[in-house]
Amino acid sequence: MKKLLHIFLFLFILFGFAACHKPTEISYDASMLYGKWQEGSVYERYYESLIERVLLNGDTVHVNGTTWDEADDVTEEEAQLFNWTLTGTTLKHEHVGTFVMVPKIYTITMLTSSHLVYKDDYGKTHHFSKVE
Amino acid sequence: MKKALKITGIVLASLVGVVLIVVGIAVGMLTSSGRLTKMVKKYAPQFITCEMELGKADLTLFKSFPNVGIDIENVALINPMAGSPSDTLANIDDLTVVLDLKKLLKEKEIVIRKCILEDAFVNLYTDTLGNNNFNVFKTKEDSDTTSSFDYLVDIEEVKLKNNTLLYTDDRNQMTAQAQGLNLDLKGKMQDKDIDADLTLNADDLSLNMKAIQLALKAVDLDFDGEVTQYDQIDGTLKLTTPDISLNLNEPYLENDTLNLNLPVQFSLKDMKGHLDKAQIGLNRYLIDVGGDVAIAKNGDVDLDLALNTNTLVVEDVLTYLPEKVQKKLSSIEYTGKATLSDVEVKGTVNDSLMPLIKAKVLTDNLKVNVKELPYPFTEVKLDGDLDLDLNSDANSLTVNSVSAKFNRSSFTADGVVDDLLGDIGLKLKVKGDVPLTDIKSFLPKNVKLNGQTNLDLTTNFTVEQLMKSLDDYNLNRLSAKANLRVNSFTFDMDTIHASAPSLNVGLTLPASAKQKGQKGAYITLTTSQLDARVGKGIKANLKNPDIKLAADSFKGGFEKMLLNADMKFSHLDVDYDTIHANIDAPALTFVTTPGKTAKGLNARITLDGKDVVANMGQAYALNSNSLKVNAAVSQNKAKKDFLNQWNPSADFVLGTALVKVDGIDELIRISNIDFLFNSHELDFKRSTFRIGQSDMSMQGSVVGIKEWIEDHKNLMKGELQVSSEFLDINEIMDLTSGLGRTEENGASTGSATDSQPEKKEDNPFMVPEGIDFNFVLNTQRALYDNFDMNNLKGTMTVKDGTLLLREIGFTNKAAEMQLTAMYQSPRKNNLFLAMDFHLLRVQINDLLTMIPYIDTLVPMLKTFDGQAEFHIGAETNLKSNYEPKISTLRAAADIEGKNLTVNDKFTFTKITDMLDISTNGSYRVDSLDVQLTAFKNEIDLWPSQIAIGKYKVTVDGRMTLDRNGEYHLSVTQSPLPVRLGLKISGPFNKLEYKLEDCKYPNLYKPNKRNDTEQMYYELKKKIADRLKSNVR
Repeated sequence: MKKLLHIFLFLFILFGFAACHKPTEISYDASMLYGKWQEGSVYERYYESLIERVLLNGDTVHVNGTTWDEADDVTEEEAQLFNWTLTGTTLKHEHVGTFVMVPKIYTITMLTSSHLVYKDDYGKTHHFSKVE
Repeated sequence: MKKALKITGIVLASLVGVVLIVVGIAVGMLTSSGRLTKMVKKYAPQFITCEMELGKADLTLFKSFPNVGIDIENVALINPMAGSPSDTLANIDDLTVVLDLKKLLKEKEIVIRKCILEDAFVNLYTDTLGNNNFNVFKTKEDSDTTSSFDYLVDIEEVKLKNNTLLYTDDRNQMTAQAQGLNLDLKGKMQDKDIDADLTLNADDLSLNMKAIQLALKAVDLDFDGEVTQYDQIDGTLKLTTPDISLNLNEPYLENDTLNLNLPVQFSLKDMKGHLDKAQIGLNRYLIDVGGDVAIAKNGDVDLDLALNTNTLVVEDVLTYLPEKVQKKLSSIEYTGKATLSDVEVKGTVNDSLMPLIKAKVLTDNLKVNVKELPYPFTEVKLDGDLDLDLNSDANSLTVNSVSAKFNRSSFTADGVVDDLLGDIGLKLKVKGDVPLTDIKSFLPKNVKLNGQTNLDLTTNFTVEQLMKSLDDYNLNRLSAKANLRVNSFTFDMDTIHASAPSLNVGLTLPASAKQKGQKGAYITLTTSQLDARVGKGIKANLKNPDIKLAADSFKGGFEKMLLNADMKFSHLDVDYDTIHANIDAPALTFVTTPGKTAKGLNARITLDGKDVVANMGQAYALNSNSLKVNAAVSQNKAKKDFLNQWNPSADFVLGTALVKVDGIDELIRISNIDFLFNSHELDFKRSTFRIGQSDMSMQGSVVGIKEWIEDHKNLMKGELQVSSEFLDINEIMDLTSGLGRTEENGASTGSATDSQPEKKEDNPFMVPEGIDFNFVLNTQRALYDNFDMNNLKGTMTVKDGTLLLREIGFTNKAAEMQLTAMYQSPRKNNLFLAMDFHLLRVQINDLLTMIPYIDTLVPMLKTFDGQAEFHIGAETNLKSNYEPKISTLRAAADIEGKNLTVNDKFTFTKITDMLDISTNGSYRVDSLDVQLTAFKNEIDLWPSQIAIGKYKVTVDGRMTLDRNGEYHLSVTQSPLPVRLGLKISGPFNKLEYKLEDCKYPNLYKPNKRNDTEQMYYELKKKIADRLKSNVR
């Protein structure tokens, strides 16, 4: 029994220390996102710097991302705008509309020079391949 | 005449002097030649005062038989005088004097019967003071008393053979010369009566005075008559010369042949004469002359003559006219023959007066060629009475009748032609048969006329006025009236063409004679039908036109013309491109307003018509009970397109009308429209109309039309105030769909994929491009889709492909609302719709009824009822069938409500039970404040708080458009110690409920929020602030 107690204590200490050890935070390099990514007919382009666009109501906005879905007969020239930030693994999109701002929060699970995988809180995962 | 008589007397006296010389000679006639010569030389000084030389003197019987004569050779009288052409007065080779031998022998009287001068040169001279060189003979009184004989001059015959006679009169500036002069004057004087027979011929006769130069060659003159009582001359004078030249300050005759046969009676005392059946032959012409001639003391000659001519060759006769007259007629060539009869010449002739001449003129087959005219008048047959007063302008030709041809035209006329020697006046009544092609050269080069015309013309103008008018097309100088009936009429000028089967034309010149203040020509046109065409575009058919117009300044074409036209028709049909219009009883005015700087036609046009029917292809049809147009055009020929070339400006007033637009079942019913249209502006002054269910009253203006039509590069801008009782926006969108679009930009371009070709039947509303229209709306009620709006006010902008409803405020049974909406149609299969919608104090049930699509975005909303504040913004691209492209859907909503009733009591009860929330049997929510966003097919409910009694619940989650969802509810405030969480997930019709931990326990506790909660909180605020930022 004592032996069993020692083993339990050892494991408690072991896991206890282990629990006290703060896990290493993963952080992706934002520059890895720069470029054009494709998921099926959906494209996203991440710009290195802000680009200027004029909304249909005449407002001028500065954004660093665009997205479009060719399946819906939308071209890159007609793409929709968003601003993105990458903090650690949290990729935040703020889609810029004429009258609205629509945020989306994602967690990146993979970011390489050729692949981008992120998911949202509802478990929806997106797999992009870099095309440019 | 006096002078001539005096000279004649002096000459005769001189001859007598010479004869007296012979008297001495006669005394010694029985002596020898030498003695006779001595005697002549001895006695001659008794009679002659000047120096004298005499040659040999002999008796002669041969020349003087049966009398005796003395023949003296080389007689010379020398009397130098300053100014005289020669010192010699006379140089006679052979002088023969015949004496009455019987008288000489029996009565010692010297009676000279005959005197013959052969080869003599006589130089007679008078200086400026009246002194002469031939007054060298002593009179009886002058002769000394030693004279041995009485002498008497009783010459029966004087003969000159081959004499040269020179007379110079410096006082009167006159010279006369006769060469090769042969004269034989036989006369018998008894008491004061002389019976004379004169025969004269000369190689050359000439007379030079200041204003007269007369020269005759090979003259034969014969006078047989008598002089009674030294007064009355009665005889016949005949003269012929093959070469006569006469210059009276200008040449009248030049090397012409003249024959005179003048039975003459003349009283030297009264200086009056009478011609009876005299004949003047001038070249080929014979003139019979009779009448009286009188010479007054002052030198005036009074004529009262009657003449008749044989047939005259007109062009020949005209050369005898005074140069002044010839010059007047120089622009006219006459060819043919004429006869002058019953000519009367009456009046005084002196330096300043000419006699009056009357004559009957007949021509046949005369040709008159006026240089300014394109064709000569031929076959001119004239019967006229000529009345010439050369002293004034009162010269006229009364035209009893004249007929002529002018190319293919023929005319007859009568009337008066006056001021023949000045500016010839034409007061004629002319009838003609004229092909309009004959007047081609009178028209501007760009005008062509065709047709056959019956002309009835009355003229009252001068030739000079006519010529000037034909030259400069200024008709104001002319006075004339004309009636024309034109068959097969056609008119072409520039791009204008008109034709009529027959046309009645009335012409009045000047127009002021018909309408005070008007200039140029006044023209009336009536016909049963007139077809007109302007360019290739405009065609018109006019029924029963009645046109009255004043036209002036024809030179320079239509655009330079001053035209003032009133036109009435029973009916007018007009076609322009695909536009066809017909109007009953239109009244049209057309007034040109040419300017110096004009580059084409400037004109004002008014139209007043009834029962107007117009069609624009199959697309539009208009039917109105009245149309009034007040328009102006200012043409610039350098421009090509219609608006730039014509710069039209027109005020249209349309009465009650119906407009049919192809594809729209509803008619546009116009109560009235008054608008001004020009190249730059369309100004609706007043317009009231109904389109289907909608009524509108519109005012405002549209600018930039011309530029927009030219190249669509510039925006056509409009500012229009639209007020309405009721507006059906759906119908209006159908009406204006696709305006200004072409196939290229209207078709699907830039299509990313060919997998979804647009359906052919799709015909989405394409917002006009190149225009910038602001409609300031004030509508009592409007309907869009199922959306019923009251007191709708705001601005609708259509700008370069974008339709913008800007801050439209209106009320609805459900709420007070503010809508800003935007619709864009860059291409058919990629439309764009965005909206910013604020509903204040909205009843949730009404909202869902009004906008069912909100239930799709916020399905939980139907759970509640009550008043809420709702802000939503959304945008999406649309397919050609208006189906949203889900990949482009972006939306956000903010909903705040209090005291809401819960409709879904079962679900509410289940949730509250599971979360251990006590509702005390009440189905109410005290407050909710939620933010939602839509991204593609994901509708996210951001962590939001709902208050139910003492409980507060934070809820978030996601649903998809396929009506699956996953929601989490966390009790964040409860009187109980337990904070439960609930997960609701699955298809909406089969949701699963599962307890779990609280997800956002501290979201609404600022001091306790973790990073994620803080981020969500800030994003929620950002979403809400963005939405509310547009609320006014």
